[in-house]
Amino acid sequence: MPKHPVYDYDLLVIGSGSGGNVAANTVAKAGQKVAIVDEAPKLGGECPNWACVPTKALLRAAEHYRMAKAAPDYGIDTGTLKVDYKRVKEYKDLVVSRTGTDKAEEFFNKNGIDVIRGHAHFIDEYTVSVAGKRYTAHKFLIATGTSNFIPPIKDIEDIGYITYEQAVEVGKLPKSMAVIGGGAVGCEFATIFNTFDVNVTLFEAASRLLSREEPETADLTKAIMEKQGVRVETDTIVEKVEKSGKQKVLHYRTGNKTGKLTVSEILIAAGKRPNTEIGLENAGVEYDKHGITTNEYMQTSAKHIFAAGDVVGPYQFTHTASYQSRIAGNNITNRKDNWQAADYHSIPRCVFVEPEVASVGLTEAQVREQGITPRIGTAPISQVGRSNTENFKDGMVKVVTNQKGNILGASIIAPHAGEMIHELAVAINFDLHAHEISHMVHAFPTWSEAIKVACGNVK
Amino acid sequence: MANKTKHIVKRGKHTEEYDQRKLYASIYNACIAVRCTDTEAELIAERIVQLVEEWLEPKHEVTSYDITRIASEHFQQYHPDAGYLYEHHRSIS
Repeated sequence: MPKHPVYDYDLLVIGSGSGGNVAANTVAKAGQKVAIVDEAPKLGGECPNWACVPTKALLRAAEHYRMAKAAPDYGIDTGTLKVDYKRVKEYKDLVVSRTGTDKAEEFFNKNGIDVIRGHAHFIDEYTVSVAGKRYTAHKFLIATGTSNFIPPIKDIEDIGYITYEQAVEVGKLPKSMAVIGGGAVGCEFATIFNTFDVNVTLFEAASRLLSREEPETADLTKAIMEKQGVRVETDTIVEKVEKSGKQKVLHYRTGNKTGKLTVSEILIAAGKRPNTEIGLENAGVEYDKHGITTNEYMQTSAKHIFAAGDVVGPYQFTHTASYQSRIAGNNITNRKDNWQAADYHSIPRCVFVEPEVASVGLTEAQVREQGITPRIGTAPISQVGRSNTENFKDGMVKVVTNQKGNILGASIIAPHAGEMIHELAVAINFDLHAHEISHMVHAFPTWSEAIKVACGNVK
Repeated sequence: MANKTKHIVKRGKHTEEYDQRKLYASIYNACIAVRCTDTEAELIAERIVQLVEEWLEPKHEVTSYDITRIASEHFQQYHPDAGYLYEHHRSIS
């Protein structure tokens, strides 16, 4: 009998965010010896510390301010309104503290998981080096996440900028801000700062905001943001920045036209790049510029090494990361005949602007790319009773089906779209027809009635 | 580079301390072998050593293969022919 090698751990997880911690806990609960390595100053990953959670807290504060400003329209006098942003940040800090990330190490240890702090680097396929010490493991899970992509703008490093990590820690509002990048992160921060009366200009290199979403969704989002006071420049590249006293001057180009904009602060939200600099080559793990390649079981090209979360894709959401981590955890602890496979066809996508933008499944263009002629149903939210009672009209629902009427994709712009989208996610997950949704009674007066109307309008 | 000792795991699995001079010399020699001038070779070697050390900064221990791989990636920008020779030196010689 060959001697079985002895490892320090059964599973070593690199990254303590959603992609890592779900599997770590699953495997530890199954009685295996687990360690988590993380080099970030705080455990728990981006979501609770610098991303989803703090931004939603700031958006909630911004929502209250917006509603207070609009209150006289509803017969409520508020007197003079004032934003004390220091206290807004205190609220954000309270929300972050309630996630418990400050006690994450204690939590992991309680569950029998060792926490190792530092940068992990594979020395060979069963060994990583962290802070000068080596650790071996029988299996690994890589959940190293992503880092900000900083576009090649001349002198940007010298002039300085902030990213989402610093933007959630801002203690004093700048007078004006240029946001570079019109994806979900850029749009959310533009909404936050614009609501708090910062003069915001949003630059996007592509022809529309939220470029992965339906064109109607992107166009309406742009129109709504402009109506709220954000200046949106699409098809625009920021080429150079320079200092002018305490201000920053951006030189940009839209087609053949050039322009200049002076702002107090620059926020870069131009996308993320996978963190793959951990010696993957030494472990035989294949990757490319999009991230680590895995099969549907979250297994990399090295069979004992799994990967999950943003470093894998195809989406960079907390809910996708934890879903993949759950699958990896299952597959690490179980025999292959009990393995689970990842399925992304009904993953909801939400952008928490005002009103929210949410989508699921395929866009109309993606359906056509698959050689399917789609049927489309749309409904403006102004058609439903809730729009009247709420005094809010800007929004829509779009449903994309195949010729038989099975729902393949959907997009919503509406207050609470992030909640509404799950009805359509269920429909896609269980292969429902649009008429099954349109024949179902929806409560009056709710925004969800717009889903019923859109499904009834599928042609 | 920060005042931390970096360890390089060699192909035979033994470990050596990172030696900037060895990396510099191997880059310089690859450049000279493809008929770069002394000045060019020095400039390229200095720049690539700097870039490799920036990459090495947060790490304590890497493999010699890592160093070759990262240096080769940077060679593509400065002198691909010398980079080819640098990368394949052991298998050619």
